[in-house]
Amino acid sequence: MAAAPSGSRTRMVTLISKGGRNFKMPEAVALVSSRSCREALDYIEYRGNNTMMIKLLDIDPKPVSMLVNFCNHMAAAATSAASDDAAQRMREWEERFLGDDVDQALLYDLLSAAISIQADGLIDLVCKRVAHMIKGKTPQEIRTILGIQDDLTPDQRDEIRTDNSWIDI
Amino acid sequence: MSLEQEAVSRRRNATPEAIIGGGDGIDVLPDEILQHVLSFLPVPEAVQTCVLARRWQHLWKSMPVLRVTGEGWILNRRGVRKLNKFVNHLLLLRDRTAPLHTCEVELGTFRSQDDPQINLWIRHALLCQAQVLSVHLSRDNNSFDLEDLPLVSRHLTRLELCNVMLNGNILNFSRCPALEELWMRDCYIALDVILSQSVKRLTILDCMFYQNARTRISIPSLVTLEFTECWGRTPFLESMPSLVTGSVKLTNCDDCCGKEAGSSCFNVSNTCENCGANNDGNGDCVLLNGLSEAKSLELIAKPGVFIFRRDLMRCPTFSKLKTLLLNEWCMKTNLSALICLLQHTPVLDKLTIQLCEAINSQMVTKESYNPIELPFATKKLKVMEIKCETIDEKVHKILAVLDTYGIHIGQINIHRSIGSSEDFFSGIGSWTSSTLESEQALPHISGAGPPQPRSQSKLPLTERSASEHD
Repeated sequence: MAAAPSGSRTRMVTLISKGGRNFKMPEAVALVSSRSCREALDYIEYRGNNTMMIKLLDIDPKPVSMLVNFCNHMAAAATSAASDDAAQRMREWEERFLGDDVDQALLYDLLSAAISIQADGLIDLVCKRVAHMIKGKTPQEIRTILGIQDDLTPDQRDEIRTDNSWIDI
Repeated sequence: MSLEQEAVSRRRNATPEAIIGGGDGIDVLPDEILQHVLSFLPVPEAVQTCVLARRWQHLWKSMPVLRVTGEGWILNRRGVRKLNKFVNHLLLLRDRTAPLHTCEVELGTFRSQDDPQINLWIRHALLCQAQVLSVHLSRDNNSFDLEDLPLVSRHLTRLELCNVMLNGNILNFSRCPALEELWMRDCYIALDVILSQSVKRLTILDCMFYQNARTRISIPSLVTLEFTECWGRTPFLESMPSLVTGSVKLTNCDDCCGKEAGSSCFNVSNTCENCGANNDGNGDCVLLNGLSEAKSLELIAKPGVFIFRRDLMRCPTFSKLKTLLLNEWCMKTNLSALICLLQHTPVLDKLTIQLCEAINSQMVTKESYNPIELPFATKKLKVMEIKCETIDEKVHKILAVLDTYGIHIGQINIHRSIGSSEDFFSGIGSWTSSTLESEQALPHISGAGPPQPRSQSKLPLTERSASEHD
């Protein structure tokens, strides 16, 4: 990967959401957070001061802005020393980040945005949150929470139960 | 395909079922993501999602991540049998063409004559191309044997073991050519050799080594080594030409002799390697030879541990070493150990010495010293750091001896600890520091009479306090 030419300003990566809104993060942050960016930048010989643009045109601005916010925060946290305090602060920040104002639709949009640039840290965080939402619940409760249509006939359901008699369903 | 086109297509192409299903529930997401969610559930609950809807019927069968956890439960005999039945069915009935990426087994205490069939699950996971394998048992089960056959896998990259017994050939990784990271904690290691041609990072914490002979660590590919607070006999490190960073902390090992701490030898039956004619038989360095290619080293030993000092009798040259951290052990016999190391570290830039007041002050003897001509090239250190609880005669002695040998130091930082000595060994505590800037060698400090307080030196002194432990 080409090094930044001396004297240049910080190179940025820009995500473009639906409606043409731009959200920027420094290239160093993108490299830490996004597998796609790492792989893409490996292939680029020389970019000069150009900004890398990533179009996420079918995702709303809010989840894209949250994605950039997450990447910036994780990159900053990675540079400070690890300690039990730091881990606790990170957990608290994650709680607030996916707070009560984040409804399911936003959660899935956020996940879609994270998948688009392969931001593994955010993908893990949202998936853990969804798992937490359904842990210990009955199948009907899970369907309600996750918005899943039950399209199994009673016969099909019986067949599944028989096939899987080694667990309690 | 440009990055932006890829990003869009990754999302659009992944969910044909979502387009059929419609709605804005979780079905908008691709299968791999749903399976990622399932991997964070207890495995029984993940399997139970097969009744949610048609799409979910078979998702659990190709989950790439398996986490078998005991959820903190104590398993009795019935519990162990139930666990075995469940996991065995799971492994048999999952889709064998779907590779397993990660397999984690984390079990609490099991009180049972029946063991969980962990050995079987490990071998099955490896057959399913697992790249990451982790077995964490609880301390109450610290006599659980892992099967002593070598592991075989072209895909395994990381292995984590906690609280298991390791015997025979289990740590012979010659048939795991992709293994890069080996992490072990609280294990009992009773075998001849830990062998790998590919491991780059080795971490051994709080493990107990076989006490009758030294285990050999033969990992020529190693880049990073962390060896902390192990018990039993310190293992023998073979040559590691790619080593960059090494951290060795010897606190509880059997290689201890009372004479090191200023009293008499307390080893029974005259088998002490430090006293008398007894030694390993080959007379080689146990640790320092293997560490000699590193660029950065931390060598810490509690009083009484003789390994480092004994290795110095056959000290190798550390031709790439730039950063070195030591504690009190280097101060024995008028810092002869420190001087020996400085003679064998031609490119050293930064030296840090950590001192702890509670350490027996007999470490520093009161003999006068005779500076002798040494075949030193003009030695230059860019930075010298001393971390201590009080700035006492030990600190002055270090600076005096270095000055006597004509060692030029660019900058001296003195950090005072506010923690206790126990904190020091466990790596917590905070420091205040003062910095001396100097372009020339320190003025000579007389060895007779009381040490001069720092403020009387001709060099400017700036106080700096750090609230975080660095």
